[in-house]
Amino acid sequence: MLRLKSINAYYGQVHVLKNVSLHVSPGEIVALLGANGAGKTTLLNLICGLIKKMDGEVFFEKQDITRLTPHRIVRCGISHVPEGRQVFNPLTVIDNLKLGAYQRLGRISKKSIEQDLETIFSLFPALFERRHMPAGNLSGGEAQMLAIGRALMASPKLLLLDEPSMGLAPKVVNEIMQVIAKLRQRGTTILLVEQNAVRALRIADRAYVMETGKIVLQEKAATILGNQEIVRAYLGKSKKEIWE
Amino acid sequence: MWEKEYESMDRTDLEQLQLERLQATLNRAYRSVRFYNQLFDQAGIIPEEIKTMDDLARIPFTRKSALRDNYPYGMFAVPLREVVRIHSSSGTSGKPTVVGYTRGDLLNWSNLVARILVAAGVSSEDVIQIAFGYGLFTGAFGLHYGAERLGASVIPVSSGNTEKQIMIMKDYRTTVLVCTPSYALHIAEVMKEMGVHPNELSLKIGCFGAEAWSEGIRKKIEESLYIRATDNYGLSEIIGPGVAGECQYKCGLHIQEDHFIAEIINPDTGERLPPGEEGELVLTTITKEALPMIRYRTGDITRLLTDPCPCGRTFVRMARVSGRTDDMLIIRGVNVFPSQIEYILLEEEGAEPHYQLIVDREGALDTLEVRLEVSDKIFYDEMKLQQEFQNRIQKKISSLLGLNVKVTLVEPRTLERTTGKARRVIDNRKL
Repeated sequence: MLRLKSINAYYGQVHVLKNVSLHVSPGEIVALLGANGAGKTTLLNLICGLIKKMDGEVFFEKQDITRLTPHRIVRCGISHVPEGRQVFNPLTVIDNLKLGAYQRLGRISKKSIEQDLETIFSLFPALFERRHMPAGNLSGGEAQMLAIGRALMASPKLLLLDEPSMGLAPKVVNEIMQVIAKLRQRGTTILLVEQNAVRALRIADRAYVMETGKIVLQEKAATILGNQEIVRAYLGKSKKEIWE
Repeated sequence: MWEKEYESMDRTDLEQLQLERLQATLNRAYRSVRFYNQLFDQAGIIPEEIKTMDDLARIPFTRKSALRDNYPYGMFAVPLREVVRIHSSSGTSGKPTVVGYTRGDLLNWSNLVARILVAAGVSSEDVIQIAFGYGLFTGAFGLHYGAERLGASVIPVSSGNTEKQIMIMKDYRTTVLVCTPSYALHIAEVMKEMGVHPNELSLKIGCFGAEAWSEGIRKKIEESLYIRATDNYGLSEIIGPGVAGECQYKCGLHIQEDHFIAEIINPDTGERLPPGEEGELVLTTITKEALPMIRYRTGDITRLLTDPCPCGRTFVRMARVSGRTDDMLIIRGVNVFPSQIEYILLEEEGAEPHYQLIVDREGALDTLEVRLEVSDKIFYDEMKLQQEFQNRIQKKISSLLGLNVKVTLVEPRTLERTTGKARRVIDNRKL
């Protein structure tokens, strides 16, 4: 579905993504793991077309989207839930959600937007209760649900989720993870960036481990979870010498 | 198929997977293995520059000597505490080559071997007799773990004691025999002597490897044991058995391309050759954690077959190995370099630097005889000393190679001298 080939990206002179190749197959949840500053968020931004100084190839459903503008990429079926939610605080919950369908306005009927809203509310009953409240009044977990709901309003084939559990209480994190698993059951493919490696691995099919802009491991999530040595070697401290 | 999602993968998806795994391997090797770090730096390459499969050809080769120079653990990419298994083979010049596996490597290895067993027609219903020698060599343990992974019943007989092997094969109703092709022939001969008819056995399939063998030998084995004989390929530096194996169509060995990248090169120029042309097989591991090997020169001569196989596996096939680029001999599945023997001989006082290795086949088993010229001093000394000298050398060589060898002392200047390259090895086997 999504296929990245040898991506290099730069912030000014800084080489932030080094030869990254990655793929996501339809129906998969793929986790992107790694320490702070490894380049995970940059990679998601790049897929969305937000980073221009780059080389390599991005293919989505066999279409080259490398040089497409962000709004065209959304139209192809990729939605982004950015780090830190980024909801529009003064707007009501329902207006935030409707904005998510902006790209589809004029192409679909009002009725189908209403239907999509219902679907979102059935996924997140808490949002229904607060639909007329300004988004700024929501709790962190609710705001995260709203951000995911807004992305879903674009009816994406691929959802990019950036740190959905950031700053949330463990109980709320569990809820969010359950929602992600539910989304997959509904047929949405997901690329998930997480710092909480174990939690992400529990719901993911496969994972890529990044380190300073490079991918150092790609493996099935279950294999990584069942193999603590890998976790220690790749997710923990890097060991330069065999004899310690 | 054991892992259909990989073995019959769409070629475009496979190439993407290979590229991802290759790049991750290069990043890890460059970061964690000093040898690769220096190799890349000296060649002026950084891992980020390898953007396509064609770029791989820019990376210099790795040879067996790299393992020897970094003896024992210098080529490992993970700390020793992550390594759960160590194997080794008798290396050249006295130093063995050491290979290590992490838990993840062992898991992959068993799956790869399970794949080649399934390709050969083996299932979880089978009783597998493993007649490879258990020990430091990768053959026996590789097949053992793969067969267990598959869920078959494994009989770890190890090598030797042929009559007992036959008794077990008959009484335990073994259905699959795993050994070297020459040992299979030997078993057939001993069966004949014992008066055991192949019909008395339950044997169906033979999975043979560890040495090169011809279609003629295959026919002979199949006719004398009433089995289907299949070939598989592997080498411990890469992982051991499980690198490639034949499917039921016996039209070449499918290389497990989701774990290894295969190239064929001209052994003299190092230039990459197009598919179909014969040359040296070069392998790159793309999932190994403990011991990644990048563009490793196997020394084996073969060619790649890219036409589709009726079995549905999309992996490219390699033709059966037709020879070696170096002087390595494979005797009863053991790799022997003449230089190893030379190294021992030259350590001995009284031995002249003139020797000859005679490889022959008695019945179905390979024999190795070392003919050594000795100086006049030793030859005219007491018989007892001469005998001791001979025994000592024989013991040393035998223990290094793990093979019984015969040592014959000859008078000075009796071995054939050539003006050009010395003819050290006389191989009388008809393979």
